[in-house]
Amino acid sequence: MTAAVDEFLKISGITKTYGVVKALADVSFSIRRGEIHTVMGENGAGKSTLMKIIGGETAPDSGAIELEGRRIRTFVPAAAHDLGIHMVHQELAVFENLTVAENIFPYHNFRKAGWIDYASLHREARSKLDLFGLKTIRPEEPLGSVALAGQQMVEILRCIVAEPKIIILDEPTSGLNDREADLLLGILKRLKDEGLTIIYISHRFKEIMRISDRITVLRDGEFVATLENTPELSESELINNMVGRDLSASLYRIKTVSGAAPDAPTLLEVRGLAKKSSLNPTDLKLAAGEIVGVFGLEGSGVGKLSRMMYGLEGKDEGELFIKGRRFAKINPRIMAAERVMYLNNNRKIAGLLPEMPVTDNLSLPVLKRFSRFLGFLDFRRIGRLATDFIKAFAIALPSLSTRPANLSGGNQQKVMLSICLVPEPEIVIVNEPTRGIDVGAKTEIHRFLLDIASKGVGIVIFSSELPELMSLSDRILVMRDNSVVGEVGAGDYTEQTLMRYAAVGSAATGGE
Amino acid sequence: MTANTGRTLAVREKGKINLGSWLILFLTAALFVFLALTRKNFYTYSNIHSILYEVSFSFFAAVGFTLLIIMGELDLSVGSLFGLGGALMGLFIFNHRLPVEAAIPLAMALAAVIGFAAGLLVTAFRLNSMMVTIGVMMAVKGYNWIQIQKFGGRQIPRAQWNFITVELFGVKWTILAMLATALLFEIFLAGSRHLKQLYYIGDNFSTTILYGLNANLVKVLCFTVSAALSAFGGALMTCRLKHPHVTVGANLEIGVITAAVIGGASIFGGRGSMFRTMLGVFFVFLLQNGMTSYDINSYVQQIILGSILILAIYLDVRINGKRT
Ligand SMILES: Nc1ncnc2c1ncn2[C@@H]1O[C@H](COP(=O)(O)OP(=O)(O)O)[C@@H](O)[C@H]1O
Ligand SMILES: [Mg+2]
Repeated sequence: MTAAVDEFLKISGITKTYGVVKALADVSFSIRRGEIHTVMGENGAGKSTLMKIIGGETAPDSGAIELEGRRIRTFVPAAAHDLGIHMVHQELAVFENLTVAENIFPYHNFRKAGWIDYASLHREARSKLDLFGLKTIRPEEPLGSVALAGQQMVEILRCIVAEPKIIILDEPTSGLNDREADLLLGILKRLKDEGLTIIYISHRFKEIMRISDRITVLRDGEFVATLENTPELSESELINNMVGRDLSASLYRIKTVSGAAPDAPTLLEVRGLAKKSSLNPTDLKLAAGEIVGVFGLEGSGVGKLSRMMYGLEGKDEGELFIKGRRFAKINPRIMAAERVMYLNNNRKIAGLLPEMPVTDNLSLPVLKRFSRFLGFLDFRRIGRLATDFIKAFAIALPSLSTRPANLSGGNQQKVMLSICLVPEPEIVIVNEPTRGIDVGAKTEIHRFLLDIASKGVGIVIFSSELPELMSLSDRILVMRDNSVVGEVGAGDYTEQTLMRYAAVGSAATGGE
Repeated sequence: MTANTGRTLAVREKGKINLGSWLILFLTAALFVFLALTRKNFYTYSNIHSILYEVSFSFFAAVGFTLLIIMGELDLSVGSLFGLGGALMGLFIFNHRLPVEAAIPLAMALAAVIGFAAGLLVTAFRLNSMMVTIGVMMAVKGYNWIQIQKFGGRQIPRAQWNFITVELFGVKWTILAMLATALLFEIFLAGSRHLKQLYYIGDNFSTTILYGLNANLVKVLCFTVSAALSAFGGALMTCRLKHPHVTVGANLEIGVITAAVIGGASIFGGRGSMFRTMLGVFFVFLLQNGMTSYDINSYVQQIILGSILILAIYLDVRINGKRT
């Protein structure tokens, strides 16, 4: 009997790979009936992937999910819905043009003589909204005009009206402010009291420790532990579980002394870069030959900072100094002209010309340099340049006319890094330089970055992988709630310190 | 590991045939031979020459279109801007008594302003180019009708249209102008960074922005050029007809898309060639000529042309479509 309660949803041996990336490796644990079960882990730990499997959006490579002892065999959302499993996504999946009421009841049956009976649809929606204390949201307004938090609530309501057994919430609070998050937590508590089982993903320690019954930690796609949320459970214990890698045995060599010369001139300075409700005023300084790491959990503002300092996203305030010269306006054109290059975090979206020969890719940022009369390009010199880079970066290519679309992820990443280095930049901003590539290519890229830094190039590296940051950076800035909350220098690196800044905003441990 | 990756790549590269580049040559040659063999009066110098003469006007509506489709933008206003060239010829020559050498540049400049505005809407306001240019098409077409009706079939004086009949080496100069334009663009598209970057923009717009290209400016310029050259073609065509006519440029955009796509351009961007677009326009005219010589009803011709367009787009999607 207790087994049935304890193993309400049983996850056993789940493995899922995307190319070379092991998103989940042999993960097993169980969810109790009627509990709030939080799943934690760094970015990329595999949380969303696991939720998508439970929610029937993607099938595992191996392993089994059992609900009340019955194995789930088809992984499609409709099947999960039939079993009573509903999911609220990290990326909201609402219909902005439909009204709030229509969003809550997308498959409603309020009809009168063939016509939609809006009166009862709205009445029913009103009563559901009231139930959640959402007095300010009107059933008949389009959802697009409702604030983000409200949209989130509406999506949760949509799951609730389906009378589910389990709801999954993937980082529902990362876009909410404290008051809104409080409201949401209150609702979750109520739903739990009504017997609903809730799987919850969040990075906010306070709220996790407030509402969870149990907490499961994932790390690098592996199950670490399931902890009972007793009063004795401390933030430190959670953080240790989230990080706690055995770095001595890994391929990373953690930096213990800064590689930058103390008297190196400042190359880049960011002053007061800010945008309303996405980045608080932020400063950053980068010296020649220095590698500055930036770390933060999802929703901490790292993504915004990286994009805003290259002008890929607009800013409200702030200025940039490149070798002492002030730039109030920032856009990629200006930055590229100043030989500041940006390695994009998602090579599928931007960073490569997937269907153009590698030579064209490499010459892209330096077309002017290779053009002669009337802009005609010197293909011989471009070919030589490409050959040099392909050799230097050990890119596996059948020929110079190969297109990146046909390369492996690791080689694509190396091509992209080469494109950024072709203009011989003095400053490089790299965003997740080794995402989704194999270990071999990863270590090579690390070597290249350390190498160009030793030649005087300044690098700002944004990464969600702590070991990567710790082995490359001379110092690491940590962000939380859209601000830089801490800075740790080489020599003082431990995963615990960095994660603690990212999670709770200070380095002090519980006792201090 | 390296060798292994290399081998699988070579196989994959080879397996992907570039149908686009051969298709148009093959189709045109096949149709040409077929008509030459089956129609008595087809394979004569005067007939071929007169087909090319027709093609030479419409080709100018396809130039900017090709530049834009390479960048993944569709310009459906080329037909009505072609017509606008004719309407403005009437306006300037009849109402303002301007000579043709002033009327044509002015018509091109006015059309350029419209193209520029469309380009701004597409880039600065991120509106869909197909929708914007359909709007331009409707509005300009309306204007053309109003204007041309006012002229009531008035003829352009001989002194003004006479230049259109000039021949060099027994070939109408507009044909030579078409060939020269196609060749010039082809060379620049292949070798000069100013036009080569169109392929880059079409392949991945965000990437070109990321590495500092002013892709939006390039797009605006191409919309402007497209409009100006379309008006140029329409103005010349009007000179050939000796009077502005509402059928000038009617449905031309359909012929131009068909020509560009069977000429190897892709609605997904990143592909296209001026020379092959020219062949494409020739193919479309050849087909129309052939169908007429077979006494195929002009409505049936429309059905056939429409089907060919759908087939071309279908092949494009199958060959170049984004694999997910
Ligand atoms: N559709 C996908 N294609 C390729 N890689 C993916 C895909 N989804 C997730 N991954 C990879 O799997 C890993 C786990 O991702 P995810 O489950 O989203 O982590 P989390 O939600 O914990 O941040 C990451 O390395 C991510 O890059
Ligand atoms: Mg996630």
